[in-house]
Amino acid sequence: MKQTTRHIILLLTFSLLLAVTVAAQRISFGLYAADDIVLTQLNSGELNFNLKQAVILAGGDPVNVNLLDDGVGILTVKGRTDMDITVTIDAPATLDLGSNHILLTKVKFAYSNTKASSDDAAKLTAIEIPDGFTSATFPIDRTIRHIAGLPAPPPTPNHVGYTALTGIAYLFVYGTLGKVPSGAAAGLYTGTINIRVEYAK
Amino acid sequence: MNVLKPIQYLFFILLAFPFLTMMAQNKTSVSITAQATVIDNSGIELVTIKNMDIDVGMAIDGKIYVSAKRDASAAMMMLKGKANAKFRVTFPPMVKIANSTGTGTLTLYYEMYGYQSDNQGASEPIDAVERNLQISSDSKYYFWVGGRVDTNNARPGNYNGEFTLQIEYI
Repeated sequence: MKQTTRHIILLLTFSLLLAVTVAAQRISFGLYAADDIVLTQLNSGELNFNLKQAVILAGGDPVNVNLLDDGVGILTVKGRTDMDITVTIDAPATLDLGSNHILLTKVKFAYSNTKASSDDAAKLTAIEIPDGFTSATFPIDRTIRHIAGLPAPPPTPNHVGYTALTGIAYLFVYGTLGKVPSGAAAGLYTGTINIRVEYAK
Repeated sequence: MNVLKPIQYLFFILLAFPFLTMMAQNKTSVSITAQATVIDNSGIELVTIKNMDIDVGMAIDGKIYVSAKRDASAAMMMLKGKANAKFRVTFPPMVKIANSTGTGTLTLYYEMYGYQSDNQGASEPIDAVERNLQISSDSKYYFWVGGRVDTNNARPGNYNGEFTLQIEYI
């Protein structure tokens, strides 16, 4: 019984060393320090079509919330400036009220990574992602990365005593609702748009 | 063997822990709500309660003024729509009224007042340019229409015209 125990412990220890050795040869920046990405909603986390058009009638025309309109969903992303981030948006096809649905015809997003001082200022420099794209990769702070027109140096891996520089980028979510069906029930239609941010690998 | 089991678990936990931790920190996500409040398409109904009556006998030096705020002869209309909804109203500042029995026209310069209840005296002026107003909680809004007309150059006859009021929700 004692002999068996010794063998198994030896085997497990060997496996552990092997795994560490292999992993040490591959640096995946997507896994590094991703915990320092902070997403914050600025306008109570809403893409609100009523802020563009107060009265939305059943049977009414589509409602377009454009980048510069009221009602745009606004978020900030705080993260390391020496790495790119990838933003992925996952939007529902409809806004729902019980068994009633209104098509969320188009959901778009834009980002601003020019160190804007406010969300209003950020909108003016925002880059709109073309229709149909649900993901984009960009640096948090474009002003740092493009200073000399040269590629940025590779990011510094985290280590004791090192604190990476961080910056803030803005995200804007907007789109088109409807056309609202003529038989749509009156009330509040809602849907959840998921936004995922990670360091680009 | 009883001694081995805890050691086995410990090793597996030690192996798995760093990877699980990294996986948990790999992505940051957040949700936002997309929303829209839809109201019934009951439309807007405009009911003419009373026409404006211009009597030449009211003319002073050939000029007639019907006060939308004070005169009983002012036209009155009632709007029915969605309670508390905001709306925009536009109307032409003047209209040429043709003589239905002969030649000549009259030019009438409109004056319009409005209020959320049937209270002409409390009504407020509404400019001819786009103006944002709000329907009352009982789904109504009232308009009174008056105006100014100069009859000095008018020829005898009957003059009939229409007042076009454009209303849209905002």
